[in-house]
Amino acid sequence: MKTRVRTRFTIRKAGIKSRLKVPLFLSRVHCGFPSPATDFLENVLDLNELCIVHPDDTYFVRVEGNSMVNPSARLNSRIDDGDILVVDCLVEPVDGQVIVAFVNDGYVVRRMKRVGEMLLLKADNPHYEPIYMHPGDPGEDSFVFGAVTWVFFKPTVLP
Amino acid sequence: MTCPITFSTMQEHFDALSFYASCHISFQHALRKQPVIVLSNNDGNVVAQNDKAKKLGITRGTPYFRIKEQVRQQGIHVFSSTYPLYGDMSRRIFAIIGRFIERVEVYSIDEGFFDLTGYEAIYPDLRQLAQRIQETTLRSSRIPINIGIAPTKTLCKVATWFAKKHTEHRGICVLDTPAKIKEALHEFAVGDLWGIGDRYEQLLLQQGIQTAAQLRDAPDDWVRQFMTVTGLRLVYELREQPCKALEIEPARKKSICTAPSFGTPVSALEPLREAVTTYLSRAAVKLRNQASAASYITVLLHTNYFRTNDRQYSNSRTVKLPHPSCSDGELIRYGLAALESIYREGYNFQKVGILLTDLVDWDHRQYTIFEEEPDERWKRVYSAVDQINHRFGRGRVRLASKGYEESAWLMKQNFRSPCYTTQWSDLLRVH
Repeated sequence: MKTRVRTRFTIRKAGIKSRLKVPLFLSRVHCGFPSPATDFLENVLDLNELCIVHPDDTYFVRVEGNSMVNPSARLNSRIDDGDILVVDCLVEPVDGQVIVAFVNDGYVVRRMKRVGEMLLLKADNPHYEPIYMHPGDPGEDSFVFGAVTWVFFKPTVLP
Repeated sequence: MTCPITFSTMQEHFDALSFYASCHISFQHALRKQPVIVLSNNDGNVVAQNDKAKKLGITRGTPYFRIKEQVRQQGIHVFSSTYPLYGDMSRRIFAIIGRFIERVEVYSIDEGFFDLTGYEAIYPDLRQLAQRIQETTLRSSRIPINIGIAPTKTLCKVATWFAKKHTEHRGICVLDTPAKIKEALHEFAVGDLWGIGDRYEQLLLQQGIQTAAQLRDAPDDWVRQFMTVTGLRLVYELREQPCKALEIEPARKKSICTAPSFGTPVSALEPLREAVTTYLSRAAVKLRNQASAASYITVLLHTNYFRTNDRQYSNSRTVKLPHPSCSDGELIRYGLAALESIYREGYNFQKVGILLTDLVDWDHRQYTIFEEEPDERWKRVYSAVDQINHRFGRGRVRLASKGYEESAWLMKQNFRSPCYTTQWSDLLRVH
């Protein structure tokens, strides 16, 4: 639970009157000697700041299916059905990076590798065939949607 | 005659191609080469269509029931209006272009003017700049835009028209020399000029004025007499003399947007609140003047991308109003709530803006407009409902008592139109 307090700070510019969301335990100081900790208040951490470099060029997408699940190397393949991916359209994906691409009339998530003019899209799941993609080819009408920069999933509770 | 002329001002205009349809195609690329139409919320008119649908003879405003059979036979894809999606994609496009050019006038949800004056020093080749803007926008939003660059706004619109009509321009037309402008105006029908309505078009055609070039060369006195001072301003703009106070407005706005930049950066919430309050009161007056009411409010907020030492932040939130409204009080209440939900401490904000969309007829909505404002407790109910719906998907909790609300929801559910960027339940699926 967040609580708002009205107070005076001099964090960045002298004399600015501002409102700040602060953790609950600090807001309890109503009387007596003020907590010295308030002098060191900073903004609460925001996951957006950590995960999104280009907010105007970034989209969330949801994974359907198990194309990126490798049953024999569970720890290295952490993209599973239902996960939410952070996809940045502005960064240039590098070889070995996971990307979202539009190919064969659908959106896929795969690991990318450049082979000449072509892109090789490999699933981490060995049961999936690799896809060869030709982004410049107007007949194929495929394109790289963006690079996957973060993966969100809820850890399962084991019995 | 080959020496390039530098105009004292230079403007850029862009408009997004079939914007509403493009927003849906942005997340369903397979539909790119198929006919797509977008319907209005309630009465089921066509409000937007892509080129493929245009070729099938579907025009804006066509009632849906009249083309139902054609839609079925020709496999036309139908979407309900999805204003949260359009609002967010519009915000993204303006933000992306704003990274290249600072001074922007948001003319509508899919159209804007940018002031390029002085940018020749940074970008000697304006066409190349336009190309980079176009490429970046396409890459990040997958929405194609047309760009026109010229010394005045009116000429910019002419340039954008050429960019759109002549495929060899690839969506970009730069009119930066008197010779190019002259050539363009000779080819341009006077009726297509920005601000020339049917009535003026008839008048001009009767006078034998058919092209924009002929209008440009018409005598000032004649223009002032028959087309008033606004017409004269338009003619001056055609003569490469910018008239910033251009007051020729389109018959009716599709949306109302105000997002001017601050003179000096603002970081506290209070001035932002004041700005939003001011913009919304002005917008409410505009709404009442054109006898309409808004269904959605978007509030957007961003820092200055050019102050590279500053921490950067931008965000927006779209709120669906409980009923279409043109009352200052209501708009401001929801606008401020949206602002407070996206505001973050410790940034130097360059701009806060508001966007009112899905404007509906006053007459159609009269019975709700003159209703008393909702009870204060309703506000809490609505905010809870909004939170639930935001978390679990649009329409999970909704009113059953109000007739028009019901039909609006039923209509909306006829055609699945996901809010890819504003609802967790509607995210794009990847396999």
